[in-house]
Amino acid sequence: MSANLTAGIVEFCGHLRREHGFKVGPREARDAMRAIECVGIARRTRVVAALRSVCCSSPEEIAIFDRAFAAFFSLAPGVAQPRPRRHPQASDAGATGAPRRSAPAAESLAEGWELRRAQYSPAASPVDAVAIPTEGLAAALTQAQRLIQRLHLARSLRWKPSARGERFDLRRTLRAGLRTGGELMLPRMLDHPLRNPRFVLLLDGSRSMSEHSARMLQFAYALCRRTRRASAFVFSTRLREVTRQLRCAARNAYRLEGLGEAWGGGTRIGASLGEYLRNFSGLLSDQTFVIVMSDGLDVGEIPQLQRAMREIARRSAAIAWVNPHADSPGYVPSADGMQAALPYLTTLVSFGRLGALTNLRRRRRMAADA
Amino acid sequence: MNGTQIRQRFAQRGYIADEDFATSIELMLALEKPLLVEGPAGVGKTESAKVLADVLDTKLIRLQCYEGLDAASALYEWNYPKQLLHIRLTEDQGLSLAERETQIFSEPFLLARPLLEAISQARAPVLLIDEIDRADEAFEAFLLELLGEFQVTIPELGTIRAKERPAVIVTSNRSRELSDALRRRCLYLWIAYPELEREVAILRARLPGVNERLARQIARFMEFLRAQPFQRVPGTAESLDWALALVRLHRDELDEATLELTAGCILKVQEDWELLQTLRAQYRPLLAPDAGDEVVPTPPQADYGLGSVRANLG
Repeated sequence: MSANLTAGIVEFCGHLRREHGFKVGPREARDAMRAIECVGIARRTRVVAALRSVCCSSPEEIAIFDRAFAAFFSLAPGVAQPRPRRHPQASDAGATGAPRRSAPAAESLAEGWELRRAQYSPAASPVDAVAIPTEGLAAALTQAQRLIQRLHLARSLRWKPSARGERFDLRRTLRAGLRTGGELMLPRMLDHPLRNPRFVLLLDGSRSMSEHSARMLQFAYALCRRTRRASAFVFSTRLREVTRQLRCAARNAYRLEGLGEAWGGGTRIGASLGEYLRNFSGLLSDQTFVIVMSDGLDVGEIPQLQRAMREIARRSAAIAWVNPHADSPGYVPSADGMQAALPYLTTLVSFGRLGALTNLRRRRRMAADA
Repeated sequence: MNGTQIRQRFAQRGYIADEDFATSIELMLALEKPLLVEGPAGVGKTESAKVLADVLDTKLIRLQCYEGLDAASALYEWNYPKQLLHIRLTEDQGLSLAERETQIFSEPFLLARPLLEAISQARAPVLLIDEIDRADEAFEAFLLELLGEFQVTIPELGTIRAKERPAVIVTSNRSRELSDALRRRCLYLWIAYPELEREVAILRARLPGVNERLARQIARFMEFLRAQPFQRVPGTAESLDWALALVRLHRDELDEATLELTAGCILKVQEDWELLQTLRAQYRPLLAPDAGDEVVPTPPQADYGLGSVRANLG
């Protein structure tokens, strides 16, 4: 392999690491070179496929990789560009629900209308980036830590050694028995350990929540920072995943970028939750704790919200709704959105009482209480 | 084996692969690294491992992951009843404790589970670790040593190194994020839904009874469905099921009545059925007979044969 090519690959790997936060170290660089040696450089598509396979580790990274590759080796348009891939987050605009094929003209026009209607809604003024205030971040981190450590919604299905377990552990009893000359005198037991839930955060980024966005983002940042079992999404008229951005926010001056229609516009909770279900519902399981942070002022269709909530409730362990107004005196959840969601909630709390979430113990819906 | 050969051999076995796929498989074999395959449900992630085993003419060892899967059922376990029996039988031989312990913690008393089995084969097998996202995080840690070094450490015995490095395929449905440590040890491949032409080819390859026109209709309809906001988007597996159902019902082309009769093959959630009803105006043009567009082709002569679907056809 020529020195030039080697240098180019090493340089590109470094570029991916520095500019795009890829986890590409010397080992990957070495693998990349071996990969190129293996597939040759006769065909660009093969080279791209090989490097992609070595450097990427998620579909999100593939989308970034394709752009970075084209830019780094500055391909003139027209020559075989790396083929754009079809995966959930491939499109630039983050239009995750967009049709994956070229739509006929009539259809695209209709879509354009829908888009426009959403943008021109009275509250719409999408901003692209938002900063997480750093003041009080330490407290949020402590709070998140406590929530992660203390919240157990169920027992895991694993068996773990435990003094007062319910299942006999032959292996460890046998080993202990060797100490007494093969006589099994010290019984060992197994039990199901408590399970830490996964967190899914759905943050309402619409304008009506702007006053509370600081606490909301701090909480989300803290949770994503403290555990890998959390994923966060913001929505306004569209939905966007921000887990990765939150996790690396410190490196990016605590700014979230490229939010587009997911921040600072009107509120379409039902449509956004529906979008979540379509694209990310794989994250829901009976050990998922869903936290929705919103004031419930929905300008979208209420039946849609109801359907989405029912589906999320069915597929998760618990749903907590954090409403900034919940502890104002005389508050009744009378907004249409809140009314629709209420039967499916496990608990409704305010930002001030986020700590109370640690006390949740089991699956319980508010409808069952009434 | 280079990329072209891989594609050919996979195609011979009814698995129509694209270039990315072939390149990843080629690299996986050349670099001797595990391959992490992700993608939506029903695009042939698991099938790829089965076909690879067939292509390499070797054994497929499969580990299906589930919550609560532990080292004892994935890696190895001691044969306790045998150990217990051995202790009893050798009680009066006057052996020391250390000697007895060495005896009962030796290979004859070891039960190899899939992972240990995979590295102790004389001929490198294909190891499929299926749906790793279903197992819990702790289990990923067990795998790291195996995936990184192709060895397993058993405290009582020492380290067992792979005689022949298995070709490892790890699949995930992304129901949770996998650890970076695991990802770093693997090459990565994302399998998306196939584009129209490839889906037609897949249908034709797996089900020689389907004519070109029907296959094209199905593929076009599936492409339409995948752009809709269904809760469970149908994958290639569903296309194949559906095509098989149509063949069984002796349908040469799609029409609305047939669609309603067989919608259960592609959509498996009540809400999705309801949504499909509302889309009627949009999909109707897809079902209209396209005269002139298609030519009725002759059935393929090649022996595609080893797919499970074809076996069902009798």
